[in-house]
Amino acid sequence: MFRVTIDAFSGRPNPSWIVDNDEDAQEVLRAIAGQREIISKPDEGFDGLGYRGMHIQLFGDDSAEDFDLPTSFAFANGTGENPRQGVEIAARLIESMTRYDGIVLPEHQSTPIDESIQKLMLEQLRLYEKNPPKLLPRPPFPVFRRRRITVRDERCDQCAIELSRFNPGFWNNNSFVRQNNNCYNYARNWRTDTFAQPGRASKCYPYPMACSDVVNAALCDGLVHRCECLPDSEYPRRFVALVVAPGYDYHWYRKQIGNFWGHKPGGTPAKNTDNSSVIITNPETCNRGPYTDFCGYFYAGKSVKII
Amino acid sequence: MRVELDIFSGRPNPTWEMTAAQAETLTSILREMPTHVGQIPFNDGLGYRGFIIRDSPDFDIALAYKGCVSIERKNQKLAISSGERILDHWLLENTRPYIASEVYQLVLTEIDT
Repeated sequence: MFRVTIDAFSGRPNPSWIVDNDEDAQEVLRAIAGQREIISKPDEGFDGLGYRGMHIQLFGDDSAEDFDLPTSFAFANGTGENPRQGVEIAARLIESMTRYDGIVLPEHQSTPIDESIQKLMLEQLRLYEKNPPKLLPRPPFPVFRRRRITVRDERCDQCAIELSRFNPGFWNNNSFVRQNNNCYNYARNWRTDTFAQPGRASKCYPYPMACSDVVNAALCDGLVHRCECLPDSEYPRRFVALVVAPGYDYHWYRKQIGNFWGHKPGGTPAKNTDNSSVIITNPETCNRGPYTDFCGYFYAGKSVKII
Repeated sequence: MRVELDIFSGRPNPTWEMTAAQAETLTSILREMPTHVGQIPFNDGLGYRGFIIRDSPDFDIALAYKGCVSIERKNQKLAISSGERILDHWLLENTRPYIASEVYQLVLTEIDT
């Protein structure tokens, strides 16, 4: 699962969509990983008018490791020894874009993911292929450390869960990402840039702010109660905890590698400390300010969709 | 000018637009506040984190929290304060129509603690 953006427009929003079919997503990432030399940082490459490149934004702060790719990168953007490399992958993505209009993004109002945009983008891509911009060679992309492990839930030994390395920079370094992703994004480990709400993707929203209602909304999105083991096909399976400030808000935590929990209070930075600046080793007992009701633990597998 | 009560974690924060009269009052409150001395209070955790003011002709962004106002203008930072936390209370009263009574009570308590 990832977001694709074609960097091509100047005034209106760039065409952007979410590849939510897991098989398609894996195929594209595998193809890119097989030609790793085609990728560059998103801010590198051609910066003139017209088609400038393809941008891929993975949703999680650890999901890159499956293919040894960074969480955000560009390709077919004029960088590298052979800027034509990656054009076929770009073309395949654009040719399939109209299949992904199911997840509606705010940008689609001005730039719909329809056949006319698709045709225009394919034409621009072919022009790029015919006459790619000439840029200086770029430095190689850094290799990534392993960021995710599988462990057994200590309370239900039969259940496997995945823990990620704490990676706050993914959420904090860019102020737009920080402001537009909340505790639910962090817990699910999906950067949607939509300030995701439990139940919004599954049409179980809005609801009163009480444990039972927020739990129902989260279950609608596909989360399951702790000890309802998820199969390997749901890898990666996040281990999360929900609390509620009765009457007005909710908050989520996600367990990380190192026996502590990470969280992201609203648009503030992701962190692993509580309201007393103590590292969170137990979300039931940490200082949660007004979020006094502890609602329980859940698993969030890969099929959980949030928006 | 746009005011955001920074308090929620999951839900979007309440926001509202100031009227011209409110903007004038805000300017006069800020004008009376002396430069802040000492540590600037802040909370980046759960609960009340202050009022964020944007789209002012006088500054880029300001954060009012527990008597202190941190102001950013063209990459320059300034902190002013008043011991009585007048601005927190004034902003809360003006935010009241846009928030639930539970939220109002919580902020009222937190401003003064």
